[in-house]
Amino acid sequence: MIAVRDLVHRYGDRAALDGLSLTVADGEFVVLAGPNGSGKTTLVRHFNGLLDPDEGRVEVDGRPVDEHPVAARTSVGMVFQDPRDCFVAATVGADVAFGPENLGLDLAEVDRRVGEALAAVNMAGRGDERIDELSGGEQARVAIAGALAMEPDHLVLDEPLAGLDWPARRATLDRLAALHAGGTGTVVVTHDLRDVIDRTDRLVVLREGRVALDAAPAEVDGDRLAGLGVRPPRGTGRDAA
Amino acid sequence: MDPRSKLAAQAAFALAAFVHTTPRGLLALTGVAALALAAARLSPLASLADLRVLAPFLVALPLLEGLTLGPPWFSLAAARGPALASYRTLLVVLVSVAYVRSTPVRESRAAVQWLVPGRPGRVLGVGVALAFRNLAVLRADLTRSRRALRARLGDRPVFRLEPHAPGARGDAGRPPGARGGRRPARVDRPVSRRPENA
Repeated sequence: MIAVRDLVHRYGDRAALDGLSLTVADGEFVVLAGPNGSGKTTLVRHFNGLLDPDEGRVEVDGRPVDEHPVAARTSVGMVFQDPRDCFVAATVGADVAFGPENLGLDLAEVDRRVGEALAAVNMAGRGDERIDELSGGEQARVAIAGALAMEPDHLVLDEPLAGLDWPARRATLDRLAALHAGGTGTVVVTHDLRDVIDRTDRLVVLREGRVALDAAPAEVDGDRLAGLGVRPPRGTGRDAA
Repeated sequence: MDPRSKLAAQAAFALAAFVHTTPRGLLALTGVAALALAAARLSPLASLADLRVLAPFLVALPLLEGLTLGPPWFSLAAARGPALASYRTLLVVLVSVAYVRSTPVRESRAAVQWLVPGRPGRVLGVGVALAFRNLAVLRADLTRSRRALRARLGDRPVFRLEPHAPGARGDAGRPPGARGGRRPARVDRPVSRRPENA
């Protein structure tokens, strides 16, 4: 479980997160939405200790992230908005193996994890390919595989559908749904609810560094979303009725 | 201030720093460097922090020079000259920082081309412009790479996962064969060596 309490994060004088509290249970599929600058990316970077809080506390499985960063980064797999920001190696296999190698696992276990992670994103057998020669959609899948190879409890994806065409968006969402069905909690950060609203258990909307809305999608109407700066998908929640 | 005047002032400062090597001379130049930083609206402490990569070199020089192979093991007299040299280098770099932070790249390029006429000046100007612009790009790339490494534990010693106690981490509600069922607990514990494949 990820628990955030009274989190404050400032960039200079501006508070990107302003006393935010949120809990994400194991196995949940949460969509984290909000307009640009609402604090979405800043928040998820606290989930595995990539940022240090100015105030407040972040815990993963009951352990403070600042005291147990390795536990947090193993439990929370992070996929950044631009897949190229995730890569640390030139080839697919070397990149996906990077995380498990840093966990001190033996060669056979690393190979098993790499194989399973690549298979989960439909990239099996492509470990020797160069990442810079892959398409944008394939790079996005490799970035997800790199996080999956850590066997995280929670997979956090920052705008995973940005820049993808419709088939690639659909394929990515199907893979995320399959991972979620297999027990991996999923947090999707987005400012566009069109594709994800039907697949989530819970919609959290941030505004000005605070949680402005936390509800099941069926309980939320389009006017409310629009008022929070989020473009409502057609036929959302009560609008569909 | 005109960038050409800034360049001239910077060159004059560097010249003065290498001529006036006495503590009194360097003290006066410290005041000038502080004024340059203030004019560029830069904090001296923040500027020094930005230059921390230079610290090992600036400190190592007098330390190595002062070391002796026998008693007294360290000679202050021998270290004094290199220490003053390190300090004046730091002052020159601080004034350069004030120039770089307060001068747009295109103005630096124009000033360099004015200073060095003809084709060499143009080439130098292009080089200066590329270096200044690329530094910002390289810095952003470095930040992204470091974030990617940190996200997958590449910034730490190798850690071992402890065996997982079934049911201890809330796996009870998960479907059979779910990923969580065979996961180890997350424990921050370094191991003594990297794995064979690392």
